[in-house]
Amino acid sequence: MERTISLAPFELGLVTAERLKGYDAVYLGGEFCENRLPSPADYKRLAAIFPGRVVTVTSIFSERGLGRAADLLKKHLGEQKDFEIVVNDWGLLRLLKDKYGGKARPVLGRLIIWEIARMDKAFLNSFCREYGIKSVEADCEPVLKQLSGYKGSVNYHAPYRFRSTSRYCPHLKDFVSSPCARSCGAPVRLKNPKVLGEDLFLMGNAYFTPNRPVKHRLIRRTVETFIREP
Amino acid sequence: MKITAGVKSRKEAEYFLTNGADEVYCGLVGLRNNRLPRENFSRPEDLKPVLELARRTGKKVFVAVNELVREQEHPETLHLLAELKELGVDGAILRDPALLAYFKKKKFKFYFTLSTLANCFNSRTLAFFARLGLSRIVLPMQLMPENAEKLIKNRYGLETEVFCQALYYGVNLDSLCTLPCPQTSENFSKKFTDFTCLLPYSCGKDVFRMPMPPPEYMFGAFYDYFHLGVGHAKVARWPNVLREIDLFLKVRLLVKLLEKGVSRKLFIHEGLRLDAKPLQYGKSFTLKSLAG
Repeated sequence: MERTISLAPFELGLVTAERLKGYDAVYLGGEFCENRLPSPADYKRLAAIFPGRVVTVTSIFSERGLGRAADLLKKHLGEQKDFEIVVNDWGLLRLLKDKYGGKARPVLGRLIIWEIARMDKAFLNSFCREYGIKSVEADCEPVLKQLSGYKGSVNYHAPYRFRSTSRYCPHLKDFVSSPCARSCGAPVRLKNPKVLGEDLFLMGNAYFTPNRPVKHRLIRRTVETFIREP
Repeated sequence: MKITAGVKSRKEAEYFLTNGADEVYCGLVGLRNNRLPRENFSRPEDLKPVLELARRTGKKVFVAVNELVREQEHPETLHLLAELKELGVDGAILRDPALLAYFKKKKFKFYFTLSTLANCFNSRTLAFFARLGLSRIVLPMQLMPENAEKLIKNRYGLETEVFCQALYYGVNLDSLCTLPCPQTSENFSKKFTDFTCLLPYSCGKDVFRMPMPPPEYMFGAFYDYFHLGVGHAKVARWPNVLREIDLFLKVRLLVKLLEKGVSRKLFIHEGLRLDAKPLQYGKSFTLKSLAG
C-alpha cells in the first residue's frame, strides 16, 4: 500500500521535511480550486523538503485556468519522465491525450469519478485504456461499490470525504476563475444539527464530512489530507 | 433570445407555448432524467398534443435524458428516442458521454443538447463532448460570461443556452453535490426536507451561509450573455409550476428589455426591481403541477 499526503501549494510553508517522512509521494495542487494549481516555484519548494515523487493535482478549469494548466504541462512533460497528474476536467484529459499521448499518467479525480464510476465497467475500462488511466480517486463506500468491475486501482482519500463544491469561493467572495491570494487557510467547521448528523468542513471552495480509511481490494494507495490547525 | 421552458404535463406545455416560450422540454418515463417519475410524461403518445401545438405555432419540443444511462439500457433509449424523433420531437438533452458515444457508433442523428449537468467550463471540454455529435450546449450555472466567450463563439457551430442566474442559481455544482436535499441525495430513501446549501451554519461565533454572487452581478451576467450571442434562455423544469411560471414571466420580461436594447445599468436596475429576493428552492421543489 502506497502512502501519500495531499498539500495545497500555500501549505508548503507549513510542513517540514520531518513531517513528510514516510510518505511515498506528495500530492501537490487542488482538486476543487484552479487557483491551487502549483507554480514552478511550488515544485522547487517541495523538492527542497521532499525528495520523493510528486503527483500534480488539478481541478475543473475555466478557460484561463486551462491555459495555465497547459503551460504547466508543457514545462513538466518536457522535463519529467514520470508525470502523474490527477485530472478533474474533461478538457484537460482531452488535452493530455491529444498533445502528450502516453507521456503523462492521468489519474481520474474525485469529481470526474463521481460521474463515471456509475457507468458500466466495460465503458469505463475501455475509456481508461483509451486515455492511459491506470488509477482513480475515491473517498467513500458508494463509489467503491460502483467501481466493482473496474480493472485499475483506487487511491483512497481520508480523513475527509468530498460532499460539494462551488465555483464561487466563500473566502474570496468571487469566482475561482479570478486571481486570489490563497487566503482560504485552515478548515472551517460548520455546525448545523439538522444536516447529516455530523459537522461539515469547509476547505477552500469545497465542503467535506469526516471519513475513515477503509480496506478494499482495489485500494493501492491512501491519500491523507494535510490538515493544519485552525 | 429564445425561451425554453421545462414542463411536466400537456397543460403546462400549452401554457408556456401560448405565453411566449419558443420551446418546451420534458421528461418521459423510460428515459432517465433528473426528475422524479411523477414529473414526467408517461408514454410517447402523451406527447402528441404537445407536438401538434408546437407544430401549429412553429415551436419546438425536446426531451430530457440528462442522467447517466446504463449500457444495457442504451439500445432501449435509442429505440425510444428514434420513436420520439419519428413522432416529431425536435431533440434530446443529454449529459452522458457513453450514451452520446453509443449514438454516434449507431449513426443515430438527432439534435443533441449537452446538459448543464455535464459541467462544461472550457473550450477543450466542449471539444471533448462536441466530437460526440452535439447541436447545443447549456452552459453551467456557475460559469460567468467573462469565461464563456470561447464556448459561445465556438468553432463547432453549437448553439448556446443559459439560465437567468439572478433568478435561479445553484449554490453548489448540482451534479457533484452529495449533500442531502429534497431534490437529490445519494440515499433516496432518506427524505430530507431542507436544502443543505441554504441553511445557516454556526461557525465559531459567526453564522455561515454558503455564498452566491450578488444579484447585481448576476443580472449583469445575463445581460452580457445576451450581448455575447447566447441564443436561448432556460427556465428549468420545477416541480412547483406556479413558481416556474413566475420565473418564466420574469425571464420573458428581461428578454424583452434586452431585445429593446436597454443599457446594462438600466437592465440591472430593472432586474433588481423585478426580483432581488434570496432563492427559495424549498418552495420551488414542492410539487404543484398543472395536470393534463
